[in-house]
Amino acid sequence: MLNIRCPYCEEDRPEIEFRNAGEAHIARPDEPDRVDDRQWADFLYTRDNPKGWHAERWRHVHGCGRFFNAVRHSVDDRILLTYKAGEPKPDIERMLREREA
Amino acid sequence: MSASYRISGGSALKRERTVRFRFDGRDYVGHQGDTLASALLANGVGLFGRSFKYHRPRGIVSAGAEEPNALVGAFGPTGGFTPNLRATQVELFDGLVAESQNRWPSLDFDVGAINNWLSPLFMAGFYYKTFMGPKAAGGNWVWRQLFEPAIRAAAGLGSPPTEPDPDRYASMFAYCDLLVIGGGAAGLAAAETAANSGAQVILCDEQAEFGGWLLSEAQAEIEGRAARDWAADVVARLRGRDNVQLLTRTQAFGYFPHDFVGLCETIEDAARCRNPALPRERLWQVRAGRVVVATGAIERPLVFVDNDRPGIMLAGAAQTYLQRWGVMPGRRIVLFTACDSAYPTALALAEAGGNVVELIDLRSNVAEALSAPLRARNIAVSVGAAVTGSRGGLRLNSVEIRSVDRNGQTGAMARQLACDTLLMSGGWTPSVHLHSQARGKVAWSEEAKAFLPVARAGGPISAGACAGKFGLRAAIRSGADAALAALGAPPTVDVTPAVAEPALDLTGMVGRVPFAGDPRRGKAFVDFQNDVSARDLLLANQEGMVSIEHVKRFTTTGMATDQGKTSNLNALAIVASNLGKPVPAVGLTTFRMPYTPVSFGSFAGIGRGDQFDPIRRTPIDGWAQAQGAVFEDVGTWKRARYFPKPGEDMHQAVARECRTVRQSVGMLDASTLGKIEVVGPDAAEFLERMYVNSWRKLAPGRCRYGIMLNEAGYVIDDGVIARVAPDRFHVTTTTGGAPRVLHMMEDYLQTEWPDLKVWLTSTTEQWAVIAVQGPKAREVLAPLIEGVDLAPKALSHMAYAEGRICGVKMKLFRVSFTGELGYEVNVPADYGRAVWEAIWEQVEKYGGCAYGTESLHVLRAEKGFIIVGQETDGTVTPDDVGLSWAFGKGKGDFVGKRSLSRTDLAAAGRPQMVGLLTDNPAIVLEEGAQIVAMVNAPIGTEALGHVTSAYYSSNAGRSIALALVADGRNRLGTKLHVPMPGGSVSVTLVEPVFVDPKGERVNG
Amino acid sequence: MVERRVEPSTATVGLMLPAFADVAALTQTERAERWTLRGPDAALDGLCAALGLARPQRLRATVAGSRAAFWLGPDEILALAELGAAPVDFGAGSDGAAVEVGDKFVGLDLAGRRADAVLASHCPQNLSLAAFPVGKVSRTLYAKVEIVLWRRGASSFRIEVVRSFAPYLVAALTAAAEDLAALDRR
Ligand SMILES: [Zn+2]
Repeated sequence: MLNIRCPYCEEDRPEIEFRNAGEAHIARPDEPDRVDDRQWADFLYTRDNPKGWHAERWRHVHGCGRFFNAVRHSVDDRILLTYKAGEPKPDIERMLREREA
Repeated sequence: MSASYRISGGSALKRERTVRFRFDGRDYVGHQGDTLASALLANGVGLFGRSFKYHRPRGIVSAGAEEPNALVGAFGPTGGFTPNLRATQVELFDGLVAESQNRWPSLDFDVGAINNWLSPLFMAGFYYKTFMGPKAAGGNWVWRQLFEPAIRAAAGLGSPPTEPDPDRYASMFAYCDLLVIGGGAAGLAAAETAANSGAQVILCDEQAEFGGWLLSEAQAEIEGRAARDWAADVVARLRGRDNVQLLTRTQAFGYFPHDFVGLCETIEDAARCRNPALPRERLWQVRAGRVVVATGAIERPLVFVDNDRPGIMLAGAAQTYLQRWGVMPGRRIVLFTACDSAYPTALALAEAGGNVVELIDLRSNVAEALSAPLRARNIAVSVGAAVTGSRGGLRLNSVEIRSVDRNGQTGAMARQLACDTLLMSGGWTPSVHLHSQARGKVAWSEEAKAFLPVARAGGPISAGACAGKFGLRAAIRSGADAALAALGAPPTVDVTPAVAEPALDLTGMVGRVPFAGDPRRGKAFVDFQNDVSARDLLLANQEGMVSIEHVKRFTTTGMATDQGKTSNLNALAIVASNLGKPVPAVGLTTFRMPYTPVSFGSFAGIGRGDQFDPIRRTPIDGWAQAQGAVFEDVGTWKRARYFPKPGEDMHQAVARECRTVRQSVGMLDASTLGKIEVVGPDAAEFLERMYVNSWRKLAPGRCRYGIMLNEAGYVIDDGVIARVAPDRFHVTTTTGGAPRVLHMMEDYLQTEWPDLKVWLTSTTEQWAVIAVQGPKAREVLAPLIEGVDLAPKALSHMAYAEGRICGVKMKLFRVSFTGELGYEVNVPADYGRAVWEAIWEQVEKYGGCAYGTESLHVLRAEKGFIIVGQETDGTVTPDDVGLSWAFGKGKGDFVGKRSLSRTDLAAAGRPQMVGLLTDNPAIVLEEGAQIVAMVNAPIGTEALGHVTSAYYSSNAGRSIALALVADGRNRLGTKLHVPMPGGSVSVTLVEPVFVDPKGERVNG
Repeated sequence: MVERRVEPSTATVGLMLPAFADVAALTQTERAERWTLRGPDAALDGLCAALGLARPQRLRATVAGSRAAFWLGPDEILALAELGAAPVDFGAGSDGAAVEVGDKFVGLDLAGRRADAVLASHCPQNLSLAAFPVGKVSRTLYAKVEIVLWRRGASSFRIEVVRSFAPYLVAALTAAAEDLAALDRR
């Protein structure tokens, strides 16, 4: 069971208090009527599914109720960081380089 | 019966307490502290079971969790039966009943042993080849009916229990700074070091007492005391601290991400005999700040022909049986080793009075210091020699010995040496299972002849023998260092206690013992539990398998319940040798959890029977139960399905309930309906974006039927929404959809439209909901209500009002899911039952009834109202089910809107909801049945649609059905066919309304 | 004038925990008023003030007399008050929401020497006094149901649970207490 830091509760909490909500930073088009079928289909269905670092959404559904984002490694489950909904996607490569240094 | 192999000593035994037990129908006596294995060995029982594939007789090989052979089924103190237990881990209690497995009709005479003579049939890959099935064989009756069942019956391990598990299983979540897994020398040192620093420590060990190898040690002394006494001192000190949790009989079975470790604590059976209220096991889910793994090492068998005869045992196991349980393993003992540790074993057995005849050492160079003490005791030591075979029936009676030269060639001459016991040691394999489960890497060490854990920053730290630190002093030192490293403390001066121990080289043979002649002759077992021999591995390599993962699956080596604890490294080395590669080039198979099997009960815990899932009941549930209602599960809710009168079946009850509602009045417990209060200045705007309907212009005090889509444009929920105030809506959802809808609404609010000032609260359980439906509904309610004018003009269809009923605060909705005049009375849940009973008194005056979900379904189908999840299946648009009218005119964007213009959703010919009338009005169609254009359509005919709902309607006086049919609205009036096993049923497509097509009754 | 008047029936939560005197005792609390308060901090300040309470900080409760407010999330508070006090006026038109949920929840008091272990049996959070000190409140899980947990003392907790889940919760707490009673006496 993962140990996930909720950026709103500011505590590490057990995974079962959370629910995964898929890939992060997929914004709903502001004006859906103005995107073509291809773009709309991408918004609906196209996801990255990388082997490695992955920004994904979680909700602290059995805790504070907030949605937030986590950068998690899809192979070994390490979590690089969690951050609040609406905050920009972090520069993961840079963070890793800084961590190395 | 005399315990003929029991000698003095045995640190685990309470000699003064004898324990009676039964094995395979015979009664035996052991002592408190015995395991089933030690007690049976003490009683001279050497035969423990038959092997998996060849049904060869097998005895005890080990003294611990790694035991591949001695699997037994046993009845616990409360009568629960468990198969596939390792006799080495079953603790005796008075009255224990156990039985051997995989033999028929008895252990001594086993019919299945004929497999041993048919063994060419059962070579590697046999099962795969057989059950994949050659086409000819698969089609052959004799094969399917006769041979395959017989083979399946003969294979396999123990039988599952036939009775429900009578035991309780407890659970505990725990947090600690340091979890130490394994309570041997390294683990004890780690735990004490950490405890001294003030850290919260959990120390667990799978055995009944802490100490690990210290309990078996015969020579070494720590601080001038026997090793086991030093262990006892450490444990006593740890027990006295309140920052240490000690768990014996506790297996760390799985290492999960983020240092979450599953422990299974077994409660001592003897204690459960005294107190049957004790649980059988307790599942610990531990989140550890850091973890020290000190799981020791497992001795390897030596792979030679017929190395599986009862009487052949690991040398370390024999030393353990001697030291801990006072058992002498045989009358005439020979040792065969490739490793130093067998020498002290031979000495200990001889010192205890054992008849140790000879020690055979595969190695040519053996230090005089090792062999001299043996020779001094008249134990012959033959170096540069190997056991190359064995003889005997149900017990070993001799071994064949040949010389081995420095090139590994065996000599031509063989001699036979009589013995009933052969103790073997092929070196020690560090137990890297948990390190590996923690996604730690391992690396081959040529020096240790083993895969050793590679430390990873922040990961578990291995200490002691599992890290290749053999020897007590090295283990203690590495345990202490590991604890300091784990807690981030600086290394201290070496405070390791003074250890006096012989210097032993614990590496040794890895692979197959040198042999004479054809490698394919004879069975030199590698994996005892799955009956995989060296020649099976050779065959796999010859058939082209070069990856160890393929070899494993082809031969099943390492795939038994012991997961190859004693066999994996030997198998790897043999494959490497066959392929002419170094061992690390062959790779290593994955270590999977659990380390040893864990009972289902432990995982299920309290989650069984009524506690499997919450069973949710409404405030009115007790009344329905008292009335004899029949309930059905709707999600996790129990809902009254119908209320049969004496003598009525469901059909009759539902027919009466439906008639009564339309003729007079009926009441339904609708409390499970999902409710969300949507509040805030932007509430209308928010609903505008979440539902297909318009909300801005809905006046306070009015309701509207709302339809919710997902972004793909499909209907996912519906419900009536009332505007309570300009900034407050009372939203209802389907019973099953409530949490999902709230989750989705929160998602949009928090992540897409955080600027909207809207706040959501689930009120599903705040309000009990009583639907009162039928032409008499107004008369029923009027005498009970204050503050609301029920007159049709004052409170018309789809109106909302607040007032009081029976003095209780009430939200009143004039809504109808039946097509009749109807109301839904909402009162605080604690008043639900009392208000229900007050309304019921009124309903009875009008000859009304209570009705359940079945009638609810019929009544709405008579009107063609959909149920989300019945008429819809996640691929249905509002237009498909005839709900285009609900769309708000001139609306902006809403969830799912863009998808409705996708070509496939806008295309002609989509499935559309229609009504179906069967030619024969008595036939009720099957829900889910397919609909086709032709009578008696052949198999494979493409369906035009399917039946979504079908009932007998007492109000229509015939069967009715709803269906989704391609282009259905253009087919109204035509005939289609529903193929059924008894022949096609002809149906006519009609408008999906069967009662009151003009919809006038709702305004009554 | 309507003659018929009815009385409330308290939510029944099934078997109550027999007093395992040495483990923990479980009691159902009196009926109470409850509100879910939602909104930004400023709105929550006002809604709490209407109850005579200060707005609770993250993962904490505020108490005034027999009223209490629990922080559940950055924009969500669960407030409790005794029955029968003067009606609360939350005012209208604020940017927040106050929604009545008095009958949605059942309150349970769990207290006793091993109350923390009874909870830790099926609650996945760290309940040590260091990680979950007195005064802390958190929404979390107990076995398969969601609870609101408030630590009132080292060995004393208040649990709020949605009413239909209460029988399951009580059975699970009971089983945990029974197991601990037997295990402790080993
Ligand atoms: Zn949170």
